[in-house]
Amino acid sequence: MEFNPAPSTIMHIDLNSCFASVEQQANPFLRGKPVAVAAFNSPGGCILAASVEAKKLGIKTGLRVREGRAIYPKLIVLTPDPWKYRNVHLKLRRLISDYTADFVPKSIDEFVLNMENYPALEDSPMKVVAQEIKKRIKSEVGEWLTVNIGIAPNRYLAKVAAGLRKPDGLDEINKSNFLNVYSKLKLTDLTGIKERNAARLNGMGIYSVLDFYNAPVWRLKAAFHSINGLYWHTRLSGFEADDIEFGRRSYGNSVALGKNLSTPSELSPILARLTEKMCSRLRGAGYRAGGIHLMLAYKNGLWWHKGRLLPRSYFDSRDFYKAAFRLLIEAAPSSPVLNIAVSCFGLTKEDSLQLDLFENIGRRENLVRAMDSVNGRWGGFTVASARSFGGAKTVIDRIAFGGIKELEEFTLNSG
Amino acid sequence: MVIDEKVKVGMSDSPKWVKWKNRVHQIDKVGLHYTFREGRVLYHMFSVSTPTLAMKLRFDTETLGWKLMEVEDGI
Repeated sequence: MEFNPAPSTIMHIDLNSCFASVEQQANPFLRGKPVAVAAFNSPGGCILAASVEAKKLGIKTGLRVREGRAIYPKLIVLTPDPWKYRNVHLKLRRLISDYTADFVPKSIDEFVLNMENYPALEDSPMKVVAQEIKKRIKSEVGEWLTVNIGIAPNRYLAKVAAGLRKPDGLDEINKSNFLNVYSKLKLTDLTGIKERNAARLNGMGIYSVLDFYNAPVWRLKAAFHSINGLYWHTRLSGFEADDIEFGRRSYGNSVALGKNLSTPSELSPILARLTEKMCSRLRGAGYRAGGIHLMLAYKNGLWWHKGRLLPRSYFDSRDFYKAAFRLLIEAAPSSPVLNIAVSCFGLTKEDSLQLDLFENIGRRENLVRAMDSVNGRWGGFTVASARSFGGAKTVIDRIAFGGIKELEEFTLNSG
Repeated sequence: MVIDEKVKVGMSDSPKWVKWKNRVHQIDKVGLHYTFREGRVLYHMFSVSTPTLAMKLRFDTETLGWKLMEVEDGI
């Protein structure tokens, strides 16, 4: 397949060191210093974002605070302030909507814009539009904030282009420079190709990105044992393979535990809190769910998970809690739990209420609706099950890692 | 450092000064202004800095009162 000759109309925008940069924007005394935003400000806390200055020292996302401090003892560690990041996301979203209506937030700090047929592109080329966006972010959102922008004929290569030079980069991959760009990249520099996929490609005689681009589809299909081989060929040739948006299929909440907890009695208040949060979001979006799933990740590296279909679609947190608690008993955790995640699936719109022969579902629904209404007026967990209040200190407001589903909710709520 | 105390704030387009513990601190810069809701109440948050301090101020749109939520010195 020849490389796509069409002009680049896709732009990928990635806010550099999002959480850390936003904290530096908020507090000028932090600027120019190595800063890390971590889940907890304790030695075992996981670093969620490192400032540009911290990254230069080798402090990266995923390290523990103690590892970061071993590299740089004066590292400034902050805990996340989610509303700061959500508001910056909304400001970026408003700014971007001045250029195109066809854009998708891929995460709290990433946007993909399709500028095809939009007037902004008729007046000036993509790179000029990108430079204007960069300038406006500095003047209208925050002068300390920088973004990487990638431009290409498809979404995938726009993301690759956005990662070529950090921070504050602006690069394009198109038919005239793609061979040059590919020749400078390793297979594992490509998003979606880590050691395992690289080994699969190596097994078929593909060792470089240029080999990858030049390989025939049959060889790629053989490497991936699936249709993915064709998708990779399409992506690297500059054609679109990633313009599918998946609808929501589940709601879930999870938490990383700072303390050593392992018995059901220690974990149940946290499970209750997570379940209440999940159900409040589920009902807020007008859904019921017919299945529950529980996942426990242990500090020793092992993990356990199980999903179960429920007898019918439920909306009441108490029903979900009972089912999740049964799963917790089945899991019989015997060593300290690191992460606990509960989710519900099998979503149906709430108008499809199935009546129960032995119970007055209407009364129960009225009660839940009244509780939701009190919580909507006075704030979450004003009224909730007594059990869930035990988990209040553990289950705090956080931004889901790499997730964008919660963005729908706070975007709708902030209108 | 968490403070959570009522304060007086001089405001025109943005906060200009804050009176805390009988001392007026002139605000040099508003680093970030953001909002959130708790239930129906809308809060405006201002991350501001004086020559020596970074402060987080909260304006409650229901009571129209200001609170100083956090203070950090020049780190």
